[in-house]
Amino acid sequence: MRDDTNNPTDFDSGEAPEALISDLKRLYQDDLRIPEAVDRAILDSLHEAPAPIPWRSAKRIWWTTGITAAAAGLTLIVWLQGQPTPQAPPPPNTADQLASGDMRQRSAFQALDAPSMLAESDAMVASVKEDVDGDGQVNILDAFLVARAVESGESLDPAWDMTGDGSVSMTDVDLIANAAVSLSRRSLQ
Amino acid sequence: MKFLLILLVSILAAGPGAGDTQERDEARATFAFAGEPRFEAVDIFVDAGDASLGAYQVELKGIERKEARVGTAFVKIVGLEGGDHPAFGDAPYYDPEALQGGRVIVAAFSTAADLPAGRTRVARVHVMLEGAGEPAYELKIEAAADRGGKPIRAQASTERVTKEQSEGTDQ
Repeated sequence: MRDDTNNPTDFDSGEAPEALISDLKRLYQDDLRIPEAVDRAILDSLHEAPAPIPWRSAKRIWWTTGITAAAAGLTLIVWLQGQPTPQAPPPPNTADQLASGDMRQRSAFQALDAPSMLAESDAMVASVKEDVDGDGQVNILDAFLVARAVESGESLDPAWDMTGDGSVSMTDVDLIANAAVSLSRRSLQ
Repeated sequence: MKFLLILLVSILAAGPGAGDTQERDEARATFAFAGEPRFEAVDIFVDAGDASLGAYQVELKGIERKEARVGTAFVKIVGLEGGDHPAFGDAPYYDPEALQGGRVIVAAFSTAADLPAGRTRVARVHVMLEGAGEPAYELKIEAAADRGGKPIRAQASTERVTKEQSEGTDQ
């Protein structure tokens, strides 16, 4: 049931109520006029020339700008003197190092610090091999395990052959022990 | 003009790196005052308790200790030798890169039948000291095992060796 008192707009018919139409007409009437005097005052103020800067103020501005620029320049020079001198990256160790392996990866290393980066990556691979007891770290206990096996004549794991000469001996033990005390490897762990 | 001069002087005086330069100069002055470098030795002891010590690994660090009015003592490792017991009498494993530095990892094992138990001197580290201060050492045990290779709880400690002690041991 429709209540025309509370909802006077007849949307179904597509026409607005008379009261609304008259209000809108009154709102958009074009009777907004700027008075002549106000218009003239605005134009006059725009045409006025700016006041000249006094001679003493101009001189002060030039001095301040100059001193600031000099101070900035000196600060830059002093700061640059305190910076470390950039050094060129060292050349690769050998041609074989660059020739073998993934060339793209190696050239990326070279851009940083090729010899040390290559040595570090090799050390990380080797450290897994030397972790004989599999406890996640290379220490003297790995070397001790292999040494006891070598001396007692127990069966020797071919994985303990660090030199790659086909046999496990005290030379392999020394390699494991040297890896355990290596300071450069320790810095990687 | 005076203002400009004052500004320039203050900028140069407060330049970066002034503090570093001062510290370096102080260190050099201390070293110059201390004269010739000094040498001493540090003994490393491992206490395996009731177990027989089959292997050990320790890390030794010389601490550069700065003392007021005395200066900093710079520790440089110059050599290593073995300990008292025949099982650990040979020079231990260490990285030669540690020489001339203040940090070393020392390790050794023995497959001999006669192994030490209790507290035993396993190695002696020779160091050179620069500067007038007294050094300090930090020792950490990283691994220890009995004769069968079984990890054991062991204690490690250091003792500074006087010149007289060193000469007595060498004879």
